[in-house]
Amino acid sequence: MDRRAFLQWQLKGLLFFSAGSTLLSSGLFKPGSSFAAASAPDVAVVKGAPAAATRAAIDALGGMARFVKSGQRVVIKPNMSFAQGVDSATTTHPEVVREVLIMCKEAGAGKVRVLDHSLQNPELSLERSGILAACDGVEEGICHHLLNSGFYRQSEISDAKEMRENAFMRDVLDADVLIAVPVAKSHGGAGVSLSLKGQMGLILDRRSMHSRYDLATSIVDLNLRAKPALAVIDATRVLTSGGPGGPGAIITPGEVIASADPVAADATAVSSYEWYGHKMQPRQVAHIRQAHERGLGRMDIENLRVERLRV
Amino acid sequence: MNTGLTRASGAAGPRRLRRLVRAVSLALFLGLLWLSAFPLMQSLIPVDLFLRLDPAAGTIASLAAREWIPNFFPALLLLLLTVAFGRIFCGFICPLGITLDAARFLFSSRKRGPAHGAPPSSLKHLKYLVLALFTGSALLGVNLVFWGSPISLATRLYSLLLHPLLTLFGSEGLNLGTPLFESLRLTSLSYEQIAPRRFDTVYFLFALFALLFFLERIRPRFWCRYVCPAGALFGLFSLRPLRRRHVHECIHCGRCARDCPTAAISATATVTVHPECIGCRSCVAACPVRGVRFAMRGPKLEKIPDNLPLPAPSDATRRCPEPQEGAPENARSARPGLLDRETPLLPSRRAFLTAAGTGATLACLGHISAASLLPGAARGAARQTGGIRPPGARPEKDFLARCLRCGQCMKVCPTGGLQPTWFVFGVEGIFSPALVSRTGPCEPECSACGAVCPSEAVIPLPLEEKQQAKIGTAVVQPDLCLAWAQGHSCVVCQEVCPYGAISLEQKGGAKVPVPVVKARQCFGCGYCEYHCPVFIPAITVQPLNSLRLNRRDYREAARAAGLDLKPVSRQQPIAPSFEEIPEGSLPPGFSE
Repeated sequence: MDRRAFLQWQLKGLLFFSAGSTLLSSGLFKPGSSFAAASAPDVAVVKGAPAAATRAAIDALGGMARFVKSGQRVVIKPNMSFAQGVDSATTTHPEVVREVLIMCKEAGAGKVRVLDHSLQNPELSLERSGILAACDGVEEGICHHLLNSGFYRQSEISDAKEMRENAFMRDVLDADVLIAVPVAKSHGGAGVSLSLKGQMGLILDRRSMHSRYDLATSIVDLNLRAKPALAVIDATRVLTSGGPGGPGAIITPGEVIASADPVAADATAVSSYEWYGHKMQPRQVAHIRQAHERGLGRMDIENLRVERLRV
Repeated sequence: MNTGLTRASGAAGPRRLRRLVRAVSLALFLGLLWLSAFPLMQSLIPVDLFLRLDPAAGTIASLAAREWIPNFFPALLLLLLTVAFGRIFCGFICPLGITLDAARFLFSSRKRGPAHGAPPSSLKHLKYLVLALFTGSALLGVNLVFWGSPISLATRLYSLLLHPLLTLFGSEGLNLGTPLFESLRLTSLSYEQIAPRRFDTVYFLFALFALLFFLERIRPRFWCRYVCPAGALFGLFSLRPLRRRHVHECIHCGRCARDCPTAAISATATVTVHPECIGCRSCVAACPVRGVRFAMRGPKLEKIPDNLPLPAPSDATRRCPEPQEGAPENARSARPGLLDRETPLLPSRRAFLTAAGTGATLACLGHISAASLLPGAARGAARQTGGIRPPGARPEKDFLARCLRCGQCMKVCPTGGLQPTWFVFGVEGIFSPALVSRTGPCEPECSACGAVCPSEAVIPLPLEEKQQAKIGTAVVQPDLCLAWAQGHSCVVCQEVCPYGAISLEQKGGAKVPVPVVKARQCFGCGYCEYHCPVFIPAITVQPLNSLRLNRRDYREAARAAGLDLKPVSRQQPIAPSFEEIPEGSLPPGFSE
């Protein structure tokens, strides 16, 4: 980003905030502040209704304009891999996805896509999760599951330890901004499935991540190439056991966790809830620990600014 | 040299009508096949209507199954209609016949068939012998009609060979068009994807139809004339149909005999072999004097002797010039008398009995072949290596007695998991459907295969019953499993299991929690096998403890068998109480 672009960006942010200031819950930060990003917390945890909490959490970080610039290509990656309803807590809440989508549009995003590579029957997964209908309500035809290899393109992963290449969705490779919008749930293999693990839905061959590579290491490798600029974790319901497919024990914190650092977001989710009835530390999740060690983000949330709000 | 004949203008009507009827029929056939897709739409017409119209399939399958299969009621109706109107099915409706005609039109250099006219007379008997063979075999409980049922063959051609080709071309076309669609802002279209269809036995289908199309070059509708068992059955019911071909006036030009696609007309043009006649009206159109009519009654044939000298040109013939001298089509110079009345309509009793006896012997071979050793036999184990039948498939013997190998269940299967088999079920099970989980698992929310099965070899089940119709049990092979053998934290099988039938347990000696199948909750859907990242899957479905009933009450049977089958999507979320994690160990997937 050169200086001119930086100034333009600042100006746009200023305009956006002054225009949108009435929408913001007052007192979080000074409306019109052009240093929203700098003064924003590292992680925002907002309790409230799904859509409102989502908006408040992203606003707390400095608003969507911090992440999405006018005309940019955005890929939103929810979890819509399971042919189950909202109550199952195996897929992202459709209202969370919709709010993120709306905020992207408000920020002037050029091309927004909501994409996943579903595990179970893809049509049923998109339909039952409610995400397809939610997205269609905002903009028709942007929410898809991609099966055919024609939608993917081989890409190398620089600095990878194990998985040095894979076929990524073309949209992802061409995108300016990636936003991970996972649901918070336990995962029998990876411990938890949050924003880092969820990026496995962006590649064609996920089998090799289990068979050829160490799962945790390759999850970090994957995120080197497809790191979300913004992670919005739907913890309105949390599947704390039996994940990722369920059925399992579901708690309803009614929270949304957002961060520009997906590792910090995941770490916050891990330490905020009890998994199988146990308090766990972020470092106990191998891929979060490795992501921290390899500099992808920070799991030491005790040293970060975590802002907890209620709307 | 003018060899083209000017048709009597009024005769084009019936041909045009027939062309229209056939176009509509083929369109309906293809449309219904198109609708045979998940989710099945409610349609007024059953999607397997054409299969239900096949009387050979209906009677042979019913004979073999030892009970009348009510789905074939339309075929019965059609046989009655045949008594009145002749083989109208063959001439107007049969999609295979239409396909063969179209193939001849497409693949022959001349638009007219290359070798119309009379065949070696005995060959037409073949189809009756084919029918007799199937009947003899069916009497002993073995159904072989799938080798010859025309609608079954046509269904397979279109759904297992041509439809997959279409999806291939469509998919490639969409790939090529994507940049264009994107630039035109046709967002939805740019993401349109056609699920590829892939089937086993496609090389066989290709070879079979290549042969049938090639035979069209030798004789028009070779299959229909000489082989088709349904045609034979229709022929038996139309030895002398009420509405049939009559000749009122004849100049013995032989054009009708030459144009007849089934060689149902004697070279002298006046004698009709009714069981061969498919009522196509080619002779009506060919006749220069408009002397041929299809009607309830006509003049006595004797009124027009076979050997009259050509009559003086009448008004009617003047409109139609005589063929040039030396025109080869002149039937009088062709082989006279080949189809005259001395050729018997039907094969001899001896031939019939020999064919039926051969069929019966084949059936006996089926009963003594090693593959007939079925699961649940009094002694010995099943030899079969583990073919999984579709959910709701009857007990194996009854299933095979009914299955027409039409491929309708494979067409409708949303995941493409149902595949035609070669010898997984023995020679007698050739082309019958098996769930090949590695190709596609059984979708828990789908019960379409039973709904479209024309012979109810797979019983139609409401979704709740189908979800209880256990087709097998998943078995983990610890020496292949990444978690068991290598300590990888791979839980893909548990992750994807739609029935929640796989639990992760910390076993002594294993570094990570390993997948364990809870057999009571396992349907055998194959999601685990499909997704298993090991090249040779470390979790495979066997037909172990599958439920195979001749009834519909799978719920009761599943309860009796102590099963607890419920897709996760229908299970209640567990209230926040946890399966006990053993003291000192961590939740699955976490580390110290």
